[in-house]
Amino acid sequence: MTAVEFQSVSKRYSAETPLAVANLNLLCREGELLALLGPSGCGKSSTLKMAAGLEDLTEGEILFGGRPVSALSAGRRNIAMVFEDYCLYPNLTIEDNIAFPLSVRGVDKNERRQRVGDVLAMLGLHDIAKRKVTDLSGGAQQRVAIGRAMVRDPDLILFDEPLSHLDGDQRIHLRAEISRLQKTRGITSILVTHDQNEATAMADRIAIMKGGVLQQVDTPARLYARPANTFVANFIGEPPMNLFPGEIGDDAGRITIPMLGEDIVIGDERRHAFAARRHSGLTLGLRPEHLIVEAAGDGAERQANAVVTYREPRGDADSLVLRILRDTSTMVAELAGPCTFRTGDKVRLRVPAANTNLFDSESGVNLEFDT
Amino acid sequence: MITLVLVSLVPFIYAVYLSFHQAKYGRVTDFIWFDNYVTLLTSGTFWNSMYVAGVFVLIAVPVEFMLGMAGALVLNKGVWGRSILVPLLFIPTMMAPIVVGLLWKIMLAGSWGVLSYNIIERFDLVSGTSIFASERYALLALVFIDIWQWTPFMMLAFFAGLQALPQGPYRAAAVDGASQMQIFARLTLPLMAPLLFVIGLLRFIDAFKIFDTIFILTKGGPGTTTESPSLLAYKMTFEFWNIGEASALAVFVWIIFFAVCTVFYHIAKKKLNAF
Amino acid sequence: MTAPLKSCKTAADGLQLLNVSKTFDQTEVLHDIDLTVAPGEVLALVGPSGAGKTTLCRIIAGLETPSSGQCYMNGTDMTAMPPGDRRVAMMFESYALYPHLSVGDNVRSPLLARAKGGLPPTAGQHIEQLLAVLEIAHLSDRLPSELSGGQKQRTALARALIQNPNALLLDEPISHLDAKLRHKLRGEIRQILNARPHPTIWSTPDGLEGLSVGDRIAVLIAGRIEQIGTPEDIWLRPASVKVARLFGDPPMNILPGELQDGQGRIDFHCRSMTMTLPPALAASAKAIKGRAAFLGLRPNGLTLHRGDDQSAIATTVYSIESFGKYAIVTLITPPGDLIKLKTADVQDLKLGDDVGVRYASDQLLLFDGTTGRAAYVYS
Repeated sequence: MTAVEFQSVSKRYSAETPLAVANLNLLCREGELLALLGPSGCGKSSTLKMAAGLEDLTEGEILFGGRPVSALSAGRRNIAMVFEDYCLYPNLTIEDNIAFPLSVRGVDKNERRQRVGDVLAMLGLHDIAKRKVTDLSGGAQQRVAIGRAMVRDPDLILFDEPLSHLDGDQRIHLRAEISRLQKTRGITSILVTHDQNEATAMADRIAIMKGGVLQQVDTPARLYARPANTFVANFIGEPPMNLFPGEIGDDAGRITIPMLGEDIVIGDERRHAFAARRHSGLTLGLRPEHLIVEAAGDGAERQANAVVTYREPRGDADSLVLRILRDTSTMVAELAGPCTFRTGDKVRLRVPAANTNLFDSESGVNLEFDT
Repeated sequence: MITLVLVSLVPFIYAVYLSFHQAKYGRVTDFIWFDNYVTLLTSGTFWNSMYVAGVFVLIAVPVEFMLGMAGALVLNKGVWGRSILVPLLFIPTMMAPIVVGLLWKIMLAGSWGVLSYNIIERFDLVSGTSIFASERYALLALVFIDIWQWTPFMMLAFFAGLQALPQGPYRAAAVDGASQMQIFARLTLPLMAPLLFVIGLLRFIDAFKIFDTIFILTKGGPGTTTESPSLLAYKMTFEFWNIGEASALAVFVWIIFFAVCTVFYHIAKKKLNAF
Repeated sequence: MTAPLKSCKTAADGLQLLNVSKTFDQTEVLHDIDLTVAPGEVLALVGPSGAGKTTLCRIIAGLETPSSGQCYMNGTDMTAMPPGDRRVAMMFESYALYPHLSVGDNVRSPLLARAKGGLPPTAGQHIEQLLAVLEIAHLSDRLPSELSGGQKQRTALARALIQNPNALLLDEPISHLDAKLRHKLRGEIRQILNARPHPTIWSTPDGLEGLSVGDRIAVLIAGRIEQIGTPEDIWLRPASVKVARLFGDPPMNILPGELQDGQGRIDFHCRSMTMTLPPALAASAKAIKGRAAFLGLRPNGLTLHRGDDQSAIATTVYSIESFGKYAIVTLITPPGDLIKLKTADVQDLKLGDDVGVRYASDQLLLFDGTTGRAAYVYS
């Protein structure tokens, strides 16, 4: 098991283009599966290729277990890679594909047979070991590629969009399979993906990148609950986090939400985050499932402040698109399904202070975020 | 379809028919069973022509293969000026064999040959006569010319094959830690095998039938040292007017081709899952 | 689906299929399909690939002739009508864009074909709005060959949505888009359709997409309609194991087993494991003649318990997938069945931990083991 560390790594492809990766400092811990996630062009693939040795570094250093590797070629780094398009050897059988990394390294025949046998058993490919790989479905080909990666116990496995060529069922199945195998073998792994479901399902921690710059590295649960900035807040979670303006009142901890004409009070332990700011703007963030939706009724406390414009049932959860009566902006709520609200229903929305994230409205940075 | 059969089959059947008959000086007479074949197979000139063909098949073709593959690998790595180099490489292959013959005659023939005068004679390798008149070197010179003519073709064919290979497995092999030699032996060669087989077969047939450059440069001489089967058949027909025996030779060569093609085809089918 | 309904000619508005079957080379791809889609209604046609969704759409569009049965549009039999006279707009899963026309011209083409003497002045603005909603406005001048799969799909979608047809058929309209865009667009397209007077069929292999876009859902499996109903019906009361497996992420857990009568109760045996059925189910269990049954457990109806618990199913943690909002835990039972569980909180759960699973009794579903049909009675 090996930790992988990126130290001030930058990548520039040509003088005219901006940095593809800018001053990246990132640690992938021993035995961990770290996902690099971001929209296309965010620098995640460049980062992976630099770790693999398929791309040179412009600046900085990469350490495998404390040992610098930037001068080593891909073949000498003791890494394995699982590619988007499988990249199996089309002229070889399943068994020979898995044995390839061992045989080119001159591992002796008995040991080779045993290790290949182990991997075949682990993947449930024993019965078809002699088949040509070109006859297999995409999912099965990718399983062979995973076997080929695991067979020689590498320091690091790099997964480059491993599921993006597969469809629905195979994808969900292999997703669970990869994370299980990675956990049982404890091999340090880096996964590149543009699909947040894939990243959250498989990774111990996720590094979110945008325009070559690292935005946040955290566990899926923490990313979801405390995004470092509004970009992460919007990128992670489906439907995305509701972001709306708030104003800090003079009374300590009181924040006014002009859209709803209501105040929320932030608890004592969180007040330090905006203690220095008085009468200035904030962006509030609230996950759709935390928004409280109640049927409108009589009395000031239950007066309608929004109307349901669209209801999307999804089985165990329903999402509601709500138009705020005061300023016609929209919010999205998610309720346990099937819920009783219908399009056109007037409702009373309430924002629970405890689940609300506070962002600087200028920079988008989460005021309570500290690395 | 019928036209095709008529066009391709009729001459062949007629050759088979002739090979079983006494057919000399333009007259077809008695049916003589295998006499033409017996005469052919017991004659020294026939076995000599097989030897000449063998030299082309076993020396020229393999050398062309190796040089072609090496050149293709270099091209594939991306050398400077590849876009200019590739059209230039077509030149020898595009030239008519007659022109090739004349060209090399000018280059190598005796004291008026550009190359032969300046290099060969100066170092006294072949004295006095043209290299094509030397019993020792005439055949080698022809082999050399064949290599010159066909290596660029092989290079381009293999280069096209290399360009068409999937890139994925190479990325995987680089990460798996395979050396350049291992990548070549375990990946490139197996992936190229169908192409190599086809080109090999075509070149085998072509080299076996070699005629025109020899005809221009040596006419089979000196003596019979460069007399290929095609040249022998030509001589039998137009110099000795023995069409029967020439037909027997043609049929015999055809049988060799047929046998080799069949074997190739079966190996290819089994080993490569190709075709 | 009673006999009298099948035989009566109808004057109902909207789109109606009666007893439609289709056979290709002696293989029956559609069997006796009865379907009605009211004006303004969106019917989600959900089924796995190869179920016959595309063939059904092609029959309605007039691109295939049914082997038997009729299609009616607003009460008129259009079974024999050529496609051009039906005014049915269809969006093909294969896009079928004109390769020589730009995105804008492709979208404009159905309007030009119908308009005599030029387009109405508002048409250009309509097209622009639609392209903007589908996030392809900036691609208006590109040719199809310069587009990604998802962009082509949205162009084809725009070309179908711009029309004012008698019926609209969307054959897997957003299947090639990435998850985030798919999620966003299905709501927006659905809202465009809300304002439309014509019946719409929206086919998809994704059960959740069907639940979210359909006013009603028709589940098509292997050429047969397995169930038609509202999203709530399909979700709460799936008619068969096959339907149950199509809806839900992750799909419902289905355990095969046998029923045995105990003292005043009914036990469900799944290999070496025994569970006692809740009283509500025990009554419906009597309807199962053979004793073979499937038990359906919803992933979100299960809870984890540590320590000794007689009423819980003993399992071991096989894999954990955390999604931030919730996590999917895959558990393996002693006989080797996998059970997936959806929970908000996995805390310190690790692979290989022994845990018990409890189930909310109103979340259990019982199916006949031989036919796969539902055998439970919930109000």
